[in-house]
Amino acid sequence: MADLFRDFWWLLFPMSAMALTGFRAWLKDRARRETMQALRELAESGREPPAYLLAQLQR
Amino acid sequence: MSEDLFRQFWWLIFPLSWFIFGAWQSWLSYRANRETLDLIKTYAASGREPPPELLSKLNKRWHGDDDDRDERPRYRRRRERSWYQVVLFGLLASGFAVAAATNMYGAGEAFVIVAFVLGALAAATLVQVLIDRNGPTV
Repeated sequence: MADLFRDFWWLLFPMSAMALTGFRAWLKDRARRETMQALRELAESGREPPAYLLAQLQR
Repeated sequence: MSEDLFRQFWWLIFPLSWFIFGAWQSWLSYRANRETLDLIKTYAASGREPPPELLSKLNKRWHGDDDDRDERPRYRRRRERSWYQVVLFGLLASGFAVAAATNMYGAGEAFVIVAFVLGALAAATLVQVLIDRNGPTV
Protein backbone atom coordinates (compact mmCIF):
# COMPACT_ATOMS: atom_id res chain seq x y z
CA MET A 1 0.00 0.00 0.00
CA ALA A 2 2.82 2.37 0.95
CA ASP A 3 4.52 1.42 -2.33
CA LEU A 4 1.39 2.29 -4.24
CA PHE A 5 1.23 5.71 -2.59
CA ARG A 6 4.94 6.27 -3.29
CA ASP A 7 4.38 5.54 -6.98
CA PHE A 8 1.11 7.43 -7.41
CA TRP A 9 1.22 10.33 -4.92
CA TRP A 10 1.08 12.79 -7.84
CA LEU A 11 -2.41 11.48 -8.71
CA LEU A 12 -3.62 13.45 -5.67
CA PHE A 13 -3.20 16.67 -7.64
CA PRO A 14 -5.37 15.88 -10.70
CA MET A 15 -7.90 14.10 -8.50
CA SER A 16 -8.17 17.08 -6.14
CA ALA A 17 -8.59 19.35 -9.17
CA MET A 18 -11.42 17.10 -10.41
CA ALA A 19 -13.10 17.07 -6.98
CA LEU A 20 -12.77 20.85 -6.75
CA THR A 21 -14.26 21.33 -10.22
CA GLY A 22 -17.21 19.13 -9.27
CA PHE A 23 -17.68 20.99 -5.99
CA ARG A 24 -17.63 24.38 -7.74
CA ALA A 25 -20.18 23.18 -10.30
CA TRP A 26 -22.41 22.04 -7.43
CA LEU A 27 -22.05 25.39 -5.61
CA LYS A 28 -22.85 27.28 -8.81
CA ASP A 29 -25.95 25.13 -9.33
CA ARG A 30 -27.07 25.72 -5.75
CA ALA A 31 -26.69 29.50 -6.14
CA ARG A 32 -28.72 29.33 -9.36
CA ARG A 33 -31.47 27.29 -7.70
CA GLU A 34 -31.73 29.76 -4.86
CA THR A 35 -32.01 32.65 -7.34
CA MET A 36 -34.73 30.75 -9.20
CA GLN A 37 -36.55 30.10 -5.94
CA ALA A 38 -36.51 33.81 -5.09
CA LEU A 39 -37.72 34.69 -8.60
CA ARG A 40 -40.51 32.14 -8.31
CA GLU A 41 -41.69 33.56 -4.97
CA LEU A 42 -41.69 37.06 -6.43
CA ALA A 43 -43.56 35.88 -9.54
CA GLU A 44 -46.18 34.07 -7.46
CA SER A 45 -46.78 37.11 -5.31
CA GLY A 46 -47.18 39.18 -8.49
CA ARG A 47 -44.19 41.46 -7.92
CA GLU A 48 -41.55 42.48 -10.44
CA PRO A 49 -38.10 40.96 -9.73
CA PRO A 50 -35.30 43.46 -8.99
CA ALA A 51 -32.67 43.94 -11.70
CA TYR A 52 -29.81 42.63 -9.59
CA LEU A 53 -31.62 39.32 -9.08
CA LEU A 54 -32.10 38.92 -12.83
CA ALA A 55 -28.45 39.84 -13.35
CA GLN A 56 -27.54 36.81 -11.22
CA LEU A 57 -29.02 34.60 -13.93
CA GLN A 58 -26.47 35.82 -16.46
CA ARG A 59 -23.51 34.62 -14.40
CA MET B 1 -4.26 -8.45 -7.22
CA SER B 2 -6.15 -5.16 -6.91
CA GLU B 3 -2.83 -3.33 -6.59
CA ASP B 4 -1.64 -4.85 -9.87
CA LEU B 5 -4.90 -3.93 -11.51
CA PHE B 6 -4.55 -0.35 -10.31
CA ARG B 7 -0.97 -0.17 -11.58
CA GLN B 8 -2.09 -1.32 -15.01
CA PHE B 9 -5.21 0.79 -15.34
CA TRP B 10 -4.69 3.91 -13.20
CA TRP B 11 -4.95 6.07 -16.33
CA LEU B 12 -8.58 4.94 -16.73
CA ILE B 13 -9.39 7.33 -13.86
CA PHE B 14 -9.08 10.25 -16.28
CA PRO B 15 -11.43 9.23 -19.10
CA LEU B 16 -13.94 7.73 -16.64
CA SER B 17 -14.07 10.88 -14.51
CA TRP B 18 -14.44 12.89 -17.70
CA PHE B 19 -17.52 10.86 -18.66
CA ILE B 20 -19.00 11.01 -15.18
CA PHE B 21 -18.42 14.76 -14.93
CA GLY B 22 -19.94 15.28 -18.39
CA ALA B 23 -23.04 13.28 -17.44
CA TRP B 24 -23.37 15.19 -14.19
CA GLN B 25 -23.04 18.56 -15.96
CA SER B 26 -25.69 17.51 -18.47
CA TRP B 27 -28.03 16.53 -15.66
CA LEU B 28 -27.46 19.88 -13.85
CA SER B 29 -28.05 21.69 -17.11
CA TYR B 30 -31.26 19.73 -17.75
CA ARG B 31 -32.50 20.52 -14.25
CA ALA B 32 -31.70 24.23 -14.69
CA ASN B 33 -33.59 24.26 -17.96
CA ARG B 34 -36.62 22.55 -16.41
CA GLU B 35 -36.70 25.03 -13.53
CA THR B 36 -36.44 27.98 -15.91
CA LEU B 37 -39.36 26.60 -17.90
CA ASP B 38 -41.39 26.12 -14.71
CA LEU B 39 -40.78 29.72 -13.75
CA ILE B 40 -41.81 30.91 -17.21
CA LYS B 41 -45.00 28.86 -16.82
CA THR B 42 -45.67 30.67 -13.53
CA TYR B 43 -45.46 33.97 -15.40
CA ALA B 44 -47.68 32.65 -18.19
CA ALA B 45 -50.28 31.41 -15.67
CA SER B 46 -50.55 34.84 -14.13
CA GLY B 47 -50.79 36.40 -17.61
CA ARG B 48 -47.57 38.40 -17.33
CA GLU B 49 -44.60 38.68 -19.62
CA PRO B 50 -41.52 36.82 -18.29
CA PRO B 51 -38.35 38.94 -17.92
CA PRO B 52 -36.10 38.79 -21.01
CA GLU B 53 -33.21 37.50 -18.85
CA LEU B 54 -35.16 34.29 -18.23
CA LEU B 55 -35.79 33.77 -21.92
CA SER B 56 -32.17 34.45 -22.78
CA LYS B 57 -31.20 31.83 -20.19
CA LEU B 58 -33.19 29.27 -22.15
CA ASN B 59 -31.58 30.47 -25.35
CA LYS B 60 -28.16 30.00 -23.79
CA ARG B 61 -29.01 26.40 -22.99
CA TRP B 62 -29.68 25.61 -26.63
CA HIS B 63 -26.84 27.62 -28.09
CA GLY B 64 -24.15 27.06 -25.49
CA ASP B 65 -22.33 29.48 -23.22
CA ASP B 66 -20.15 30.90 -25.97
CA ASP B 67 -19.97 34.49 -26.82
CA ASP B 68 -23.25 35.12 -28.59
CA ARG B 69 -21.87 38.06 -30.53
CA ASP B 70 -19.84 35.64 -32.62
CA GLU B 71 -22.20 34.66 -35.41
CA ARG B 72 -20.04 31.92 -36.88
CA PRO B 73 -21.13 28.35 -36.28
CA ARG B 74 -19.38 26.52 -33.47
CA TYR B 75 -17.27 24.28 -35.73
CA ARG B 76 -15.79 27.33 -37.41
CA ARG B 77 -14.95 28.96 -34.10
CA ARG B 78 -13.23 25.87 -32.78
CA ARG B 79 -10.92 25.71 -35.75
CA GLU B 80 -9.60 29.19 -35.20
CA ARG B 81 -5.88 28.85 -34.69
CA SER B 82 -3.27 31.29 -33.52
CA TRP B 83 0.48 31.72 -33.30
CA TYR B 84 0.19 30.84 -29.65
CA GLN B 85 -0.77 27.28 -30.58
CA VAL B 86 1.96 27.05 -33.23
CA VAL B 87 4.58 27.93 -30.61
CA LEU B 88 3.02 25.68 -27.97
CA PHE B 89 2.75 22.60 -30.19
CA GLY B 90 6.15 23.30 -31.76
CA LEU B 91 7.95 23.49 -28.43
CA LEU B 92 6.14 20.43 -27.07
CA ALA B 93 7.04 18.48 -30.21
CA SER B 94 10.69 19.55 -29.89
CA GLY B 95 10.74 18.54 -26.23
CA PHE B 96 9.35 15.11 -26.99
CA ALA B 97 11.70 14.76 -29.98
CA VAL B 98 14.66 15.37 -27.64
CA ALA B 99 13.20 12.84 -25.19
CA ALA B 100 12.89 10.32 -28.04
CA ALA B 101 16.43 10.99 -29.33
CA THR B 102 17.99 10.58 -25.87
CA ASN B 103 15.77 7.56 -25.04
CA MET B 104 14.59 9.30 -21.88
CA TYR B 105 13.28 6.91 -19.14
CA GLY B 106 13.97 4.09 -21.62
CA ALA B 107 10.76 4.99 -23.46
CA GLY B 108 12.24 6.47 -26.64
CA GLU B 109 9.76 4.75 -28.98
CA ALA B 110 6.73 6.05 -27.11
CA PHE B 111 8.15 9.57 -27.22
CA VAL B 112 8.58 9.28 -31.00
CA ILE B 113 4.82 8.82 -31.41
CA VAL B 114 4.03 11.78 -29.15
CA ALA B 115 6.60 13.94 -30.97
CA PHE B 116 5.03 13.02 -34.33
CA VAL B 117 1.51 13.84 -33.16
CA LEU B 118 2.53 17.18 -31.67
CA GLY B 119 4.73 17.97 -34.68
CA ALA B 120 1.77 17.30 -36.99
CA LEU B 121 -0.44 19.55 -34.87
CA ALA B 122 2.19 22.32 -34.96
CA ALA B 123 2.56 22.02 -38.76
CA ALA B 124 -1.21 21.94 -39.35
CA THR B 125 -1.74 24.93 -37.07
CA LEU B 126 1.03 26.83 -38.83
CA VAL B 127 -0.57 26.18 -42.23
CA GLN B 128 -3.95 27.26 -40.95
CA VAL B 129 -2.57 30.48 -39.47
CA LEU B 130 -0.73 31.29 -42.70
CA ILE B 131 -3.67 30.68 -45.03
CA ASP B 132 -6.30 32.30 -42.79
CA ARG B 133 -7.96 34.95 -44.94
CA ASN B 134 -8.50 37.24 -41.97
CA GLY B 135 -4.81 37.26 -41.15
CA PRO B 136 -3.14 35.54 -38.21
CA THR B 137 -4.61 36.00 -34.76
CA VAL B 138 -2.16 36.35 -31.88
